Amino acid sequence: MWWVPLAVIIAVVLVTSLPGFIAYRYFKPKTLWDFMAAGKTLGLLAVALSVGATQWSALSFMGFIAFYYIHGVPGWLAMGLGYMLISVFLYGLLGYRVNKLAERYKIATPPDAVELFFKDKMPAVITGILLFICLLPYMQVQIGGMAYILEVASGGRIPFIYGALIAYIVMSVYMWFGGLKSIAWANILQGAFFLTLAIAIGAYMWGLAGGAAGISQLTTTIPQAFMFPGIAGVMTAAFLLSWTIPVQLGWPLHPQIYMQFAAAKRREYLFYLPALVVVAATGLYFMQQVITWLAGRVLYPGGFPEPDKLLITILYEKWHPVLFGLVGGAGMAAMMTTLSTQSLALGSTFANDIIKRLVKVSEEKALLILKITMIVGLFGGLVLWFVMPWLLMTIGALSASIGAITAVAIIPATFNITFVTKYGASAGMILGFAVLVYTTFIAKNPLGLYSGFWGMITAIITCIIVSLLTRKHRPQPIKI
Amino acid sequence: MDEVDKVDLQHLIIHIIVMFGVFMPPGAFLFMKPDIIGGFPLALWIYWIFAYIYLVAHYFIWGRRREKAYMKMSMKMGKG
Repeated sequence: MWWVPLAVIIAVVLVTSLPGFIAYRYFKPKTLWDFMAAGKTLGLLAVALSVGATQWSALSFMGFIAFYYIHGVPGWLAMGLGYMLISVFLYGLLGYRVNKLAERYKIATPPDAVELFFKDKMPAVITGILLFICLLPYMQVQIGGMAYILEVASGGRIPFIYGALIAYIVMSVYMWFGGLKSIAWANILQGAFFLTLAIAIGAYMWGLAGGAAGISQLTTTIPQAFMFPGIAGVMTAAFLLSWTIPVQLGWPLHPQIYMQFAAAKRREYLFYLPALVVVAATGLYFMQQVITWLAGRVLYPGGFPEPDKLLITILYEKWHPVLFGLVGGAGMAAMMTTLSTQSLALGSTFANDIIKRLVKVSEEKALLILKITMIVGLFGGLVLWFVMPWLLMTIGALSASIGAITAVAIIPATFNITFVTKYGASAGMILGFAVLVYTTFIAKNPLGLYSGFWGMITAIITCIIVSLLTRKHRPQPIKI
Repeated sequence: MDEVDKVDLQHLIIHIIVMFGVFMPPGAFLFMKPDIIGGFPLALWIYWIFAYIYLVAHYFIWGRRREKAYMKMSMKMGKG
């Protein structure tokens, strides 16, 4: 009966991908903008669930659970509370402006807004390159997660590589034809399915942890899990703040999120996005992870060697194969939603933000380049996962904070902050990135503060100083 | 700065004051004195439930006010 969970997973993947194919029947993207911004046709449900589903990823089934398992409650404050206080708030602030810009000037990606505002390709290309770098490792994590679920579900019969290939082929087909519209439609069903399963998992884990009494018991057995600096001893109050600010500030600026703001049909939809996301994200998504790591600590008092595999291992051992198949399918769906939007963002960043700005190419060619980059980028990531995983880990350490560095260009461009000049924004991004690399690999986290914080602060200070020095070149505000 | 931007700015200021003025001091205090109210997890859950209620209410009211401002703005533009 080893094939039962596997068959359920494949069925779930195929069924939840169907809306992606159906979307193509109703909306056939003709232009580059249609492909990247779904022709600005996404409804409230599609935007809210798609933005949510973009972040319900391999991390929610594996990475975040391990993060809380290692850092305890301070890890949760940094990730969960930080996300809802900073990222979700930014969704509201940014979304409305991005949608307005998209309506009037047909922008789709952050570098589009940067070029429109500064009227120069230089800051836009720098933003594009930085965002391209930060997207790659995120995608690899999803591929690895999908392959891992299939490997466990088949009892090791389907090797890692074939598992990843199956998901790769299904996704490539609907992404190639429908672009963001297909991706968002598939995200609706995949996101809803994942949320439903997340509630069930949360409730089950609550029972396994022994409820409130079981969790209270943990405070006597591992008190360090509930206090600064966490179990690993890293998450001091200063480190927590310096970690959560750049990471949570950077996330809404990543192209896979930014592009979906541009794609909403009516800008009023974006008014309710923060409230909707915070309800879904906390009650249904983050709490599942929090209760899972607590249950893991109760179940394995001696420690669990690979905490990122905690959830999958517990459910594989304790749940019926069909139910495990559904969970595996939900996990696959969560990873596919993230990966598809990220691949589209990667292709768009490369074709629209870098190539189209550096070389003269027609609209049709740019669209073809985008599609090919999307597919090749995805495949390249798959190969890199096996050949040079160290490279991904290296870039991965940087990527979370890169968004915060590009903020010096994207925020002024989106909010019409004319104090910032193109030279200030470009110098800020370059120097901020250099400091980020330096504080990540050479002088690691100076003064106990996270490297991303140093990168972000350097970018902001440099941007202000250079903008003051070049105040003659201040941009004109964009009329919206 | 249009009507919606004004609402956004007001809510940003309220949000920052609540984040740093209301949630951070008791949060830090609970971490320093974990056994202050019936054990740390209880304090944590209470803290978290208040944060959650605040977030949902703040974001919902913000959305409502933005929509009203937007409607007002659209009507003005229509008349103009």
